[in-house]
Amino acid sequence: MSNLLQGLNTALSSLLSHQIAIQTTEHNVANASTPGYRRQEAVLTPGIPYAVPSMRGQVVPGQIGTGVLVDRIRQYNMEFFDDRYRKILGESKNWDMQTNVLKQVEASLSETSEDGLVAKLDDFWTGWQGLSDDPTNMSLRADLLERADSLATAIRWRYDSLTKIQKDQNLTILERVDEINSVASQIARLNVEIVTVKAAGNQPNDIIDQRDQLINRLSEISGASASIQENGEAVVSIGGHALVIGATTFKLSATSSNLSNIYWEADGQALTINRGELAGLFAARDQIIPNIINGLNDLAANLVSTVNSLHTQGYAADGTTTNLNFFDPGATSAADIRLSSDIDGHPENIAAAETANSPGDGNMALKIALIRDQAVMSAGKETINQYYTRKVAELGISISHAETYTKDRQAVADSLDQLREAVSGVNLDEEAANLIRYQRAFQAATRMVSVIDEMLDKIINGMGVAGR
Amino acid sequence: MRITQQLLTENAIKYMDENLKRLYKLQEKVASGKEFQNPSDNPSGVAAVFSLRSTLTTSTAYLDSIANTDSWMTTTDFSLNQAVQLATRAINLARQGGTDTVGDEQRSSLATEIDIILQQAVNVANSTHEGKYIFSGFKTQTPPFSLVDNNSDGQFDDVIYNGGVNETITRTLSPGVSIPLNIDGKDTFEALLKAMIAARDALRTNDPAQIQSAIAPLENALQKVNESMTTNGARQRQVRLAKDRLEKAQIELKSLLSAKEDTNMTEAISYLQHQQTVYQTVLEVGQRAISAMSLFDLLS
Repeated sequence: MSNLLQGLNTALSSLLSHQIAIQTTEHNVANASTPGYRRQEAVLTPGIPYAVPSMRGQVVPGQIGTGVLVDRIRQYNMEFFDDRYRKILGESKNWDMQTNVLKQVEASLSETSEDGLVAKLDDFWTGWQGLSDDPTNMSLRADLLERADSLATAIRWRYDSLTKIQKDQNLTILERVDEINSVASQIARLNVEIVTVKAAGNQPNDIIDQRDQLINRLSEISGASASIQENGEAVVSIGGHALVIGATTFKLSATSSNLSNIYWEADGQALTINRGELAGLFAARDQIIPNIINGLNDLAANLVSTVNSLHTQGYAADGTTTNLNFFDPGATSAADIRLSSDIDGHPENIAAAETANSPGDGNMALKIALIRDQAVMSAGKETINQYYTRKVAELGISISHAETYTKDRQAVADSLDQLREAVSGVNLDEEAANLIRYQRAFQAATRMVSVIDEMLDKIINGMGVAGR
Repeated sequence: MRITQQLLTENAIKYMDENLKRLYKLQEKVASGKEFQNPSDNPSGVAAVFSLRSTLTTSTAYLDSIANTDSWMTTTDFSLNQAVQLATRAINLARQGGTDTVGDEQRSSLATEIDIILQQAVNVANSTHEGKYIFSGFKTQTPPFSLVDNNSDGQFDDVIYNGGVNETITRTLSPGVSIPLNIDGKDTFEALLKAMIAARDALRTNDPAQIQSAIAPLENALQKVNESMTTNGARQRQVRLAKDRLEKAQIELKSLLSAKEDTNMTEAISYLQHQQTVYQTVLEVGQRAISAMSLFDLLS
């Protein structure tokens, strides 16, 4: 037996279901530009049909539909893309961070300017050469001292700014460690919610979006990777060590030394990291900057020893004073290279002469000037100028290398993101079309209600009134 | 591929950003006039520029040194030339005094004249260049020759050399090429000055034979001075050749350096103009993409 009242229910199911569908469309439109949002869809499914019951078999030749239901709110998700995206994102951020730190180094050294160290070295050597032509000229001697002092200052200044940039990275490292810990506990909290909602048979779409966005941030910072379990929770790990398992987080901590290192609080293990911003920070701080600092130290040590070994054999302007060091022999690193106390402020003590009592002899000055052309660095392979030029070029190569890698990785990440967006993103035209579709269906359902209403009216008020 | 509004916006931003960056780089090149600002812009180019600049600074130092050497040698040449004239004059006077036709009084006045020439010759031997004695070896602050009066008769009767013996000041003209700068004062002048004293004394003795025998040492000494002058001249030619070579090399280096580090303006400016047009187009396209209508705009 069919039932007119059942028709009302069918129309009602359509009204309700399409309201939900329209609401989902609204939600999509509202989140069209929300980062990490994946579009949702109300999946409509026919209501459970029934066969009209009777004592003697079927009354009607089949099951009768009961309208429409929303089966679930589906999310357009691409989990396998997420994994690849996060990996490449971590790599791109690694190189990006390296580029940033090294650009600071490059800018602070400003070797291409007139103030570059190579220019200072050239000034120093030509100072000696000038003095060799005219060793009795006191103003040439004073000028040479000025040049030497400016060279030593330039080396010390470079050392200071490099170590300062190195230490400045601590701040960023501590900041990032804090962020990892806070993001990890947020993920753990969302994990709990997701499992609860899922266990109740629902789809926690927006919470998943939120959590995955947080995991993306972790990948940016630390190259973290995540795997999603059957029950919906995410297991997040950095460099093979678990960071979040379900509701549990493992915290990271930084040592309070000058150059902080990061370790796991629970077991004291050092953090191994090869992707993400932190990896870039460590590479710049612990490899590339120390390489330049070592270069400066080598340069300072060689400069001090080669100049001193000749200078101690020469004679000062008075023709008798000898065995004086030019640079302070006790300060042979880039941190403290300076003129010796015998020379500083005493231009007459510069040993320009090779023989005693020979004021016109500038041979020692010339010999020192010619260190310029001698391969005294890198076990006799490079001159001092060549050596430092190579160090500057190496820094330049590191930076342009990092820049290229950043660009490449970012391009891959972008195109993965575009593919993801192509599936998960919100297209407003689509939403508008759906909106019209759902609106029309809703309108039709309301019309159905009024038709059934009229029918009922006929039955109730129009039937059985004959003869009234 | 399904396109979303978000994709359009992101792409528009990305392309605007990329093109603005290109515009920035070109603007930097044109405005600064340099092909690169930082080592990372062109690491190998920077290394090449550094080594070119070093070579240029060094060659400038060599040129300074050469200019100084050249003027020292010019002073030397001038002094030696004077010495030759004085020696020739002394020889002529001695020859005059050695003939039988001159008398006692005339010989005495010839002797006085040689004595004056002797003192002039000592002054010449004590010539300076920028305050330094050029014939003194390394002892550039000590006058090389002084006349002494041993028997205190008001007559100088000997000459003493106070400069450095066998001391050679060397100057480097270019890496690995050096040249002796100074002419040995003792070698060049001592014999001449002594021969002059001998000739003067011989004239005083009024003995033609003795005067005759004083001429040969004078001539030998003149020969010595001449030899020194030739040596100095040869060195100076070498110095000038080196100067020529270095000056040419400097022009070459400067043009190389400019080719490496200076912006090729014609190229850069036309790229800049092109990039400007591209950027404008990108902006326009981006603006259209971002503000493109959607179906919502047509719903009624």
